[in-house]
Amino acid sequence: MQALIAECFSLRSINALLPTSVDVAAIAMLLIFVPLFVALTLRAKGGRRIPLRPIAAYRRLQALVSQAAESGAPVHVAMGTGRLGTDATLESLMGLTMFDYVARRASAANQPALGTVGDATLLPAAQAVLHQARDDAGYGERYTGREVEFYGPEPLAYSAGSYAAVVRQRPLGNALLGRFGFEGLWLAESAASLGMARIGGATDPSSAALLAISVDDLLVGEEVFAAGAYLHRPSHLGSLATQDIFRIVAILAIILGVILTSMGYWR
Amino acid sequence: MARILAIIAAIACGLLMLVDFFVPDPVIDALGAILIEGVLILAAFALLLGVLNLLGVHARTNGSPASRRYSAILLVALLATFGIGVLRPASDELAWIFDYLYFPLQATMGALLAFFVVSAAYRTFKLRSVSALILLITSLVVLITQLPFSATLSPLLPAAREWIYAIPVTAGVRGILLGVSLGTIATALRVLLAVDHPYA
Repeated sequence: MQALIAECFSLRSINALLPTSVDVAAIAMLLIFVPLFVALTLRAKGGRRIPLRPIAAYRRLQALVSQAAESGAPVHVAMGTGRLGTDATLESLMGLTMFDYVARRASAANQPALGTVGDATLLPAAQAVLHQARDDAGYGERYTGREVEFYGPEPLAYSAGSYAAVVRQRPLGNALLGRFGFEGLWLAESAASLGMARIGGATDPSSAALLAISVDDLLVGEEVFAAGAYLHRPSHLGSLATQDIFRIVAILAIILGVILTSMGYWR
Repeated sequence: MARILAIIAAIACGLLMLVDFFVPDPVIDALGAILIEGVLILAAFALLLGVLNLLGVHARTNGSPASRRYSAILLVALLATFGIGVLRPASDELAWIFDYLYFPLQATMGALLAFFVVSAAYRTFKLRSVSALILLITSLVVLITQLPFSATLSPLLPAAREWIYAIPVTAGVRGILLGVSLGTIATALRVLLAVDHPYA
């Protein structure tokens, strides 16, 4: 009986029935994830309320952006050194999403914006985001292309350049979201020495640990990917809910796995 | 219309790369390789755009006199390195710039990190909350157990370090990675299904 149950749980036995190199677990996960994702996204787009737990970093950013609209100082969004088209793409996209929110709020108030990027592939994307935000707010003529600054993909060149931009523009606060290594700490501490507010997030645990000791509010792990849902994109709520459901399932699966392994039913 | 075309192109490319990941087919592999090569070419052109942006930002800077001086230094350094790189690639002059200017500057900035870690850690370890207390105690234990003579202080210290690494740290990191994996899938699907289209 134990052997039968173990065989049923073994993905190797399912893989043996299929052509080589087809990852059954990944396909099975996608087949469950996609319909759930579509259903919950449609639900969110239909205006159905999906409750969110409060995340301090996003609340602080919203407050900073509101203050910035009144004070005339920008909020600096540092989008890191990640390159679009690599494994850093999705983190960088979240940095762009945050910049989109800040740029839209700044544009609506006809105020300056400030974004820094460390990789050239991010530059046209960030400029397009700002251009669109200025156009949508009716201040298209204000777009110059120089409110997004590029300082090279080398971490230290990027942090030094971004620091120079911060010193020059004196933003109200700094939001670091994207791919960061130790340059995240460099930038956050430099901003701290100027007495500026800092929020930041990274998906890599070691980078998050460095940011954790320096920023006022940290985004860690999946919180990074929730930027749109929390800030200004209700359509992202569906994917956030799907993530939460899968996380609960993963936790239950881990508990079940521990029990089955302890009882000898799992190889 | 351009927006719709961009969305269709992005979805088509994304689906092709997804199929390429799951299905080992030589034709799909070749198409995927062409797309990846296209990304590399675009990235090279984007770098040119980046250099133009750098020139634009620093040629028209309207900050303080000091800031204008730094911008001038940046522009001179950029143009000099670019000129030498184009006229005499792989030359001793170019190597000199990296060996005697770039790497020492990099090392200097890297060295500052140590001070940043200390100042950040000092602020973090101020006992403002229970989590700060836990962080302080854990850090102290790990720090002390890094010392060569820590085992002579107490035989429990090395075991405590092993326990910290094996149980709470591993559990925390795995939790973060699990959340990141789910977030990655959700974000990729948002782009793939055009719920989110940051490119258009």
